[in-house]
Amino acid sequence: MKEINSQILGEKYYEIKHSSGLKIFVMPKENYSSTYAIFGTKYGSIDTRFKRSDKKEWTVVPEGIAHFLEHKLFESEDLDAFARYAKTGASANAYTSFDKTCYLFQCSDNFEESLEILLDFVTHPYFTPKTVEKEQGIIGQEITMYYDVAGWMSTFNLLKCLYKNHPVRIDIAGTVESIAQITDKLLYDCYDTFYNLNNMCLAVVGNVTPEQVTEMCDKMLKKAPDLKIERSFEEEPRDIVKSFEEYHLSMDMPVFSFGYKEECKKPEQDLKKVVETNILLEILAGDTSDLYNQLFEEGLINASFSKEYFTGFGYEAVIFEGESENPQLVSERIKNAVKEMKKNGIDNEKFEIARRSLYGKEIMEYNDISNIANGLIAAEFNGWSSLFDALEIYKTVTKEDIENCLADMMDEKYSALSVVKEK
Amino acid sequence: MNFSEKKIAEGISLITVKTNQFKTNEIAVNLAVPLKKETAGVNALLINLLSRKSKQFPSMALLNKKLAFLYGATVSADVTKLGECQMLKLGISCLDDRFALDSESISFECIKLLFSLISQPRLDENGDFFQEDIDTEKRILIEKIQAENNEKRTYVLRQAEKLMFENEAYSINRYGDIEDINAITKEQCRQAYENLLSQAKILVTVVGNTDIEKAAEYIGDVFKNRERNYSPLPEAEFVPFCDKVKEKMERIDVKQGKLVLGFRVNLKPNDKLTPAMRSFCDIFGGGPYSKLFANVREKLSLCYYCSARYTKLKSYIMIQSGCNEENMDKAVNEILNQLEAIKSGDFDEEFNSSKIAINDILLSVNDAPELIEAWYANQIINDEIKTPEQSAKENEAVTKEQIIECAKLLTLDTVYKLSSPEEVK
Repeated sequence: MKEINSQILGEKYYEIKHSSGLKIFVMPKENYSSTYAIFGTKYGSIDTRFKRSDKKEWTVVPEGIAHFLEHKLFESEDLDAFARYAKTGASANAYTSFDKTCYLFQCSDNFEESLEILLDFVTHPYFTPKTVEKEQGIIGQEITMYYDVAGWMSTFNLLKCLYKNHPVRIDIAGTVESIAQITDKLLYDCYDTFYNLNNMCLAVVGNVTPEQVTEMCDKMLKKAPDLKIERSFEEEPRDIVKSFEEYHLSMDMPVFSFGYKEECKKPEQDLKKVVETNILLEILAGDTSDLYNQLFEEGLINASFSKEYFTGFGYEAVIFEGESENPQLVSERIKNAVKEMKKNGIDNEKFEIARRSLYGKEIMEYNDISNIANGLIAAEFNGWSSLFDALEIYKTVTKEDIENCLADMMDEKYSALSVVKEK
Repeated sequence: MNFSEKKIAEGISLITVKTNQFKTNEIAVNLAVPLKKETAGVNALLINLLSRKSKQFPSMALLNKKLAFLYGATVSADVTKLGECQMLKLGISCLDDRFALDSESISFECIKLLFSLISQPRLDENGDFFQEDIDTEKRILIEKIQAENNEKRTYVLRQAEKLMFENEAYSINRYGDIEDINAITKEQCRQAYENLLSQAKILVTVVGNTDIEKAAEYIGDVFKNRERNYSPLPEAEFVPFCDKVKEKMERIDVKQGKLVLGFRVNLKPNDKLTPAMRSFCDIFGGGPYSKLFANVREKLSLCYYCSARYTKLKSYIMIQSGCNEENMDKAVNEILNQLEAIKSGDFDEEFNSSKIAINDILLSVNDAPELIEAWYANQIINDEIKTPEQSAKENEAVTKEQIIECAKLLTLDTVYKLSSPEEVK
């Protein structure tokens, strides 16, 4: 058991490599009455092509299978997981993202019982052809629901403009056609590969001790066979697919996503690069920037405007989103601001203010036990050594680091705009 | 966690929750006024305007720069509907002083900043708001209303509310309506600003580790010399039941249909039975153990989602669901069947689950400063303030008989359906 401290925060957490192979993080939080636990696997919608270390051949599976598995794991031969949680009072949920699938609960009482349920149902899959078929209908409905959600459509259409082959371009839940190919056999193949405890992580934050967690893990988890997983994607060209896409919905206010595809020099980004890019985007388009304030005053954007460094295994992009009557003009103005910043360099005061603001915001994240637990899982899956490192980087990063970062990024040749509006 | 309540002036009170559990301090000024068609828009516009600039920070960029310098403090404006009152909130969230790099007092700076935004707005030489600022906020507010309409779940809910509460103040959008907003004048803004500060019921909340005494003294001083013309807020019009169900089908271009059911609840907001009504609603359509989730969604697969929400201050329950047109009538029937099941007493297991789940949620309020803040702000129009622990005790005491009694207090009022045009299908 390793103890990781942050003097700045006055917080610490424990890192445990459990005998089962599972990596465990526990952060006790004084005075909190509730506890948040999250059990995740490094397995998301982009993992459609993989090779196990104990097999020779590569396996290719239909899109949307990670999300489908998430839904199915809640079921068992008798009581489903929700029915079991109903007896402990925990509020439970799960989500699938591009690169991970996580099961979680929050409770202020009966923590051990709830943790037992979590560890049990995630490690005991149960699928039959009949339950798979029923789920195809339910998930089909869920996929259809998102076709009416403007922001979602805008983002995915942008990703389809930017990426030709990488599965990040596909809806996390897949398509009605792709999930129709899912069988119980395929689900077990994916489950046996990615739900190996060596590929998983448990994070618990709140009113809890590390002993409570390890004792329950000792009781519930068996040692997992050694397994390594290789991921691979069809080669992604540097070029984008197309620079513009428009989709129509019944709506009053157009929404847009504008993004730059970045050259992904290595499959995963380190924390320093993430922090630097966040500072860069804050200076460029944060609410103290000239760009943001001018667009706002001119009526081109409103407070829904956002910017994001969007990155995961094999993909890296910078994305701006918002509502605007004139998305084309907004995207032109962003491109100009980038060009100007590249030409003139970064103002020292602007750098210091952005850094100070983001430093404060990073500390504020530690109010929320769900933020912390999700952060611990993300840090582990991204291969970052400690959750607390970000604060140190904010303290030591220099303006020159940000300028170097900018030099290689946001080339308008690789940018695209996606708009969703009334026909 | 140390809770205290203090009256500052007629209709103005201060609630403080002293705790070092968090990294932040949350300070908010909540103003409650009657919800009226002619003032809803201008009030909403004003609270947004006040959050954006002030005499001291005459542009958004300058204010944002100051906030960034204060370690990423955020000012937020919010408008909600509480019964037939409109609640306007202007709040600030900031890092606690113990994290400052140069040992400055972030929180007291932020408290001063918040109150300067409210009491010293950016005005021209005649004491009016600038037309350009009003125009910006008109656009922002109208875009907010439009963005809400983009989201079909919210859109259909608003449409159902309009139909159900047609001739009641409750039907007024919390942001006002677009036509009224477009017509707002400088004079209206000035009048509304004066009315808000003199007539609104005001609740200031401070949650965090800041020097509460010093904060209370400062806040008291801000309001000390203000002329007040406060009269207690009106209660919402109480419609105990409905004689004839209103039904409407709206057709627009959507991929998935939506169904909303509105029930009148024959129970006044101050009735002793309201904690039982909250439990009833949770058993009916709250968590995954609820009747609607387990039967209408899971067992019969009639909807993708189906949940119920009780609004105590206006005595009604809304059920929202994502449902295809061919299933809508079946879903309505099944929802009514589940209500009958509760009336007949068939809900022991759901009741147990609901009781611990509600307790769990109430006790979790104390673990997030924004939840604590909202918990007290939402009681602004109540005479007596309850802590989450007190509410948890009330929840503990709810009995099965009370739930059955509650189920009998519902009558169906409105069925609102949203689906795609027939030629598309």
